[in-house]
Amino acid sequence: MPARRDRHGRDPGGKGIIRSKDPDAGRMTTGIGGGSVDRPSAPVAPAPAAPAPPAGPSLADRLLDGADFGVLAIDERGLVRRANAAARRLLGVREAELLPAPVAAALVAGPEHGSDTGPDTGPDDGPVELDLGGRALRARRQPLPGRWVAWHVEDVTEHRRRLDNLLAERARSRFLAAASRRLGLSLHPGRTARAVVELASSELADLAVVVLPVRGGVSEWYACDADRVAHSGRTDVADMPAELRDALAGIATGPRPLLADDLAGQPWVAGAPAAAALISLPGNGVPAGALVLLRHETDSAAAPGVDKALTEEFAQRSGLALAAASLYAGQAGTAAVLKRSLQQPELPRVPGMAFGAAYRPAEEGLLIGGDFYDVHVGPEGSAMFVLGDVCGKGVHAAVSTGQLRQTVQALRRLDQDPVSLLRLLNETMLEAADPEADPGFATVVLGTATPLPDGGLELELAGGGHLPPLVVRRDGVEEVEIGGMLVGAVPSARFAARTVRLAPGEACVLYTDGVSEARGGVDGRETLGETRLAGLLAGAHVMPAPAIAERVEQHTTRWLASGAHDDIAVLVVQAPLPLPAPSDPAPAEERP
Amino acid sequence: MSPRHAPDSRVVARRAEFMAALGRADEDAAVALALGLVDAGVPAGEVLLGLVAGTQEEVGLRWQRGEWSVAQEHAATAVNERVVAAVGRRTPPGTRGHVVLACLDGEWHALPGRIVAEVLRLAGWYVTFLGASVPAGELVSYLHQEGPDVVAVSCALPVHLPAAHRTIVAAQRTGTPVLAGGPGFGTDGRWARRLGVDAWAPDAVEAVRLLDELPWPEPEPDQVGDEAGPEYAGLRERRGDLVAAATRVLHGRTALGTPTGVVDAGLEDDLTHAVDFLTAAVYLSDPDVFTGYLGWLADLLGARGAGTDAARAVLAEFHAGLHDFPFAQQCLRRGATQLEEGAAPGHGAAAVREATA
Repeated sequence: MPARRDRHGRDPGGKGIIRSKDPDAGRMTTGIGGGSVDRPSAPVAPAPAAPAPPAGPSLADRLLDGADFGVLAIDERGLVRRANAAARRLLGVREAELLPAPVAAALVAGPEHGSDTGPDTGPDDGPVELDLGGRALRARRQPLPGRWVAWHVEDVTEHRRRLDNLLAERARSRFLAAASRRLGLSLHPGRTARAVVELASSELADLAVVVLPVRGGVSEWYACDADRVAHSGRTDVADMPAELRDALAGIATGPRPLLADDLAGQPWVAGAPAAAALISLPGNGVPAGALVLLRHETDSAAAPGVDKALTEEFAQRSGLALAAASLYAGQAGTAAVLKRSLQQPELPRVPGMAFGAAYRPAEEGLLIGGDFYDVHVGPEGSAMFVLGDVCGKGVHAAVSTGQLRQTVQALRRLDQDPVSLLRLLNETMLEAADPEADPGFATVVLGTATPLPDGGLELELAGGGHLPPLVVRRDGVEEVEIGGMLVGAVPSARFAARTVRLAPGEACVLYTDGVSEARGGVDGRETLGETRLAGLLAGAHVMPAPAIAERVEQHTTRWLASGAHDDIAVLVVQAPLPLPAPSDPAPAEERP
Repeated sequence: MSPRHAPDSRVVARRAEFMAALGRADEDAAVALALGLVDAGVPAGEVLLGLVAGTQEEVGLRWQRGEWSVAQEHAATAVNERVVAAVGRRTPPGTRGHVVLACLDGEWHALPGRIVAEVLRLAGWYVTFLGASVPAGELVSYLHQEGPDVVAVSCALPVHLPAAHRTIVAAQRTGTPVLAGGPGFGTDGRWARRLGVDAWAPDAVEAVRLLDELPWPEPEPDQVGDEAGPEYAGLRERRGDLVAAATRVLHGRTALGTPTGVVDAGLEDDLTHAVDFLTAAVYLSDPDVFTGYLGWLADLLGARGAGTDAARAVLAEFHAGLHDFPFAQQCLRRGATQLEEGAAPGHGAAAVREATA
């Protein structure tokens, strides 16, 4: 049986290979054209007239030794039969010796080499990646005849490092992009702090904690672990580690490690972290908070803040978001306090009468506008109510409504008569008006309600140039034309009054032009109008006052073609609903 | 929202009496009865779900059968709201996370949301109920200021879903997870998922369970197709024309032959309602939104002894006016077939019926 030959025409098992006595030097003496090996298909076969082989290493050896990649041939016993210079350097192998154990393990460990696949099956298996002596290698197996195996080994350390860097950089950008997106969402300090710890615990630490700046001796903290379990609480400044206090005070801002002693007793610490780092989150001049990153693993590569640049960049963005949220919270808090006095009041409960109201300012996020209403409990079981519309919109108008409501509140103690009250109001507004500013007039309906012995209600309505109220009767809806001039426009303006009696269930509906002039409908340009409004209210005497007010608001907003509208206010005064004897038939069957 | 569990016998015993109080809009009697049950040891949740939600369903049915007017229905609902508020005052504010609950803009069915709010409060959550038809802008500024853990939005009718989508997106953009509830999202919540909400609860009990599971996984992105975009926009633009054309076809008569509309105020209201359901179906790329509405309408007309001739004439008119709206036409054809066959109402009819109850 003839000896098998490999691709290079060598006879691996035969005596065609003549090894030098010094395998370490790698000087193989098997010469091209030397020996008795016949190699009819050898790719490097020289012409028969080739010059005599040079002394020392053969040309093939020189070529192989000059290659960047390692080539080695191993026989069926695991003995290295050939290895070029690169293979000896990369793998530390020597010819005529067994493979060093780590190399053998790494090469054999590849999944595709678990079993001996025989010499001629699968000429090219997938490459194996291995780490040897701190270098990353990629080895490709080549089966040789006689159950020999050749390995082509490439040093990919530099390549791998570049790739790792690229991937890490990409992951970093992705994380920072996600962080920016997420941190920009909320303007609430607590939610922003929570976003910071959720992001940090997803990427930078096993447990992330944000401690917000100290207010009144205490700090709020927010913690989140890698399982997205979040906690929050408050901690006294006296109980904080000095490092943390310094970070919050802006004394020490850079990233720094925290010791186990520092962490002892902190409410947000769970278990015994192996490593911890602290970084202050830069805000507007002073830190917007401090971030604590904890790791449970002792692995140094996983120590918090190892990726210093990433942590610092994240801290910058977190700080900005927290500072913005804190600024917004401060402004919104101030605005809320100021707005509270301008918002429409809770309606008082007065025996013998029922009130209902609806309010929808033009600027919906603002909750306040140029329309207003108010109800005050008067003497002897009576009540005083007012609804009006100050010229203008938004905050400026809302401030005027606040002044107007307070003025009415004060003046009603001097005079209970609606017309006299409007007169006083007119004079007060004119006196208080800034002569430089635009005239701040208003349209107003002001009335008093007195319960009647029969369960009805007597209303005394005074008009200040406002839309006529609608009275919901049992048999229809009627308009109450009062007359009167604008309030706060001219001195000695004239105001008129009307008396209206409501039978039980009947209601008087006061509304502003945001209702009747709502533009929309089928063609989008039609106004809702008094007639349609009256139609809407027909039969509403069986509804309670709040439901009547809601019905008007509901239909007005549905009428609107686009979202834009004027301020809308509705106030309903109703004589209490009659309570018929409980003769209403019970439901035929009880439905579970 | 309705109770699906066996109600407390003490609640069942007083239900007729409570219903009678609702019929008279007798707030004091209704509140006294409900509080009396709570004082007698009936769990507040039982009173809310068994008594209030249960009778509210009956209120809706009475309106649907034409036994009660719209006004009476509103009056009874308003009383039930007062009852919920009164029962709720007995519950101390919760100390768990902060949940904000709001009815979406255009959604005026506040009662189910109010009941859910009280049930969540009973489960220990700190709950703020913002009320009916909360404008998106108002909700968002509230979320920025208060930073709640969850915002729960209630929608009773699928017709509000296009607006709901904008509100949901706006709320999620504040970083607040959105819990959707109410039959408006489909009885199986499919439209809630399509709008990309973080969680959907069919009822108050499930909402309590879901809140126990916080934090929720990241929601799937919304699937409201861009392909619906142009057709949706076109329908919005044609809304007025469609209503006007249908009004001419009906010669101003409502389906009931009365000046009052089937649903509420008048013929135009009814027709606008129908166009809006069609528009919502196109927005969600789901004809069931529209056929569900028609199923409910057919039931309603049947209960009032009216046929569906007028409704079918309207559908035909819409179909003729929408020749360049393939999806809307598909919805209309399906709807017409359904009305002709008097077919069992499709998916969503139950939702609409429940919501209107």
